[in-house]
Amino acid sequence: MDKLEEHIRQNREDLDRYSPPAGIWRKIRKELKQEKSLMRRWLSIAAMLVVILGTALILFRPVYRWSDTNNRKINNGGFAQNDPQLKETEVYYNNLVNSLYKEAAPLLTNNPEIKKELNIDLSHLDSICVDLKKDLKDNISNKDVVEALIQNYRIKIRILEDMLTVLKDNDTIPEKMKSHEL
Amino acid sequence: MDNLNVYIHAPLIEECRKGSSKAQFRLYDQYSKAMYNLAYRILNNREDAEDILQEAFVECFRNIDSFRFESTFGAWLKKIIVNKCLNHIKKKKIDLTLCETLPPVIYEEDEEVKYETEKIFKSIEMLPDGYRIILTLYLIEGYDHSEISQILGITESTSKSQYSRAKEKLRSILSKN
Repeated sequence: MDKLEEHIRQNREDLDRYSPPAGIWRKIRKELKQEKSLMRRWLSIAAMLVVILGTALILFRPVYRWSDTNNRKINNGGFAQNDPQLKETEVYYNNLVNSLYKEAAPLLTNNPEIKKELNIDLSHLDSICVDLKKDLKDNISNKDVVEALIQNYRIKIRILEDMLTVLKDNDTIPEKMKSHEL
Repeated sequence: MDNLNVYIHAPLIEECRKGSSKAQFRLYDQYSKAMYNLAYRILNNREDAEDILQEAFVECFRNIDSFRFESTFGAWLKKIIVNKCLNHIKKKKIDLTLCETLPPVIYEEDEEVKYETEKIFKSIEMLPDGYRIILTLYLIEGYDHSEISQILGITESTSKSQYSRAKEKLRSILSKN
C-alpha cells in the first residue's frame, strides 16, 4: 500500500462529508406506510368479496338442485342465456373493466406485488363469473343470477377504480414533495 | 465473515420484520450518512444520491425478510446502493470506459509528499466517472478486485489496471491543485 492509499484508508471517515437531507426519512416512511395501507385496503376488499360471492353461490346452488328435479322454467326472471339485453350489459361492463385495466397497467408495472394481488382477485372473480354463467344455462332463478353477474362486474370495477385512485396518488406524491423541499 | 458482526443488528432486524418504524429509523440513522456519501461518490450528484438513498432504504425495509444474515446488514445495504447507482448510470447511458486492459501504472512515490484529506476529497470529485467508481469501490469501500469484477461485469485484470490508472489520475489532479 502506498502513502496515498494509506492516507485515504486512515482518513476514510473524513471523506463522508455530506449528511442526507432531513426530509429523506419522512419520504421513506411515507412510501412504506402508503404501501402498507394499500395492501390492507386491498385485503379487506378481497375478504369482503369472498364473503359476498361465497354467500351468493351458497344461496343459488340449493335452488338449482331443488328446481332441477321440478320445473326448469320456473322463475327465470325474463332472462335467457342468449338474451340480447344481457349480452349488451356484458359488453358494456367488459369494455369498462378493460379500459380501467388499460389505464392501470402502466402504473402497475412499478408495483409488481399489487399487480400480482390484482390478477389473483380478478381471476377469482372471473371464475365466479364462469360459474354464474353455467347457472344461467339451467334457466332457473335467472333474475338473481343476472343480478349476481352484474354485482360481480361492479365489484371488479370498484376494485380497479379504488386501485387507480391510490396508485395515482402514489405516483404524484413524490413530485409534490420534491417541489416543497426545493 | 465474523458471526458476531453478521448478527450485530439481529434484534433490530427482527423488529423491522414486524414493521417497527422505530427499529427502521435506528438502522436508517446508523447507515444513511455512509450510504448517502457512497451514492454521492459513485454518481457525483447529490440530488441523484438522495433519490438512490430513498429508493434503497424503501427496498431494504420492504425486502427485509430476504436478509438471511449471510453478510452484515451494512454490506447487504451497501450492495443495494451500489447496484441502484450502477443501474442509474446505465439508464443515463454514461460511458464508464472500463473495457480496456492496460498495464498498471508503476509510480515512484515521493517520500516527502504530504496529503490533505480536503484536497483528496475535491480531487476525487474531479475524476472521470469510471475512475472515480473503481477507486471508490476498491480504496474507500474496501471491495476486492474479484468482487469489483462481478459488480461491474469486467475482468479482474481490467479492474486492477483501471484502479492503478485511477490512482495515477488522482495523483496528477492532486499535484496540480
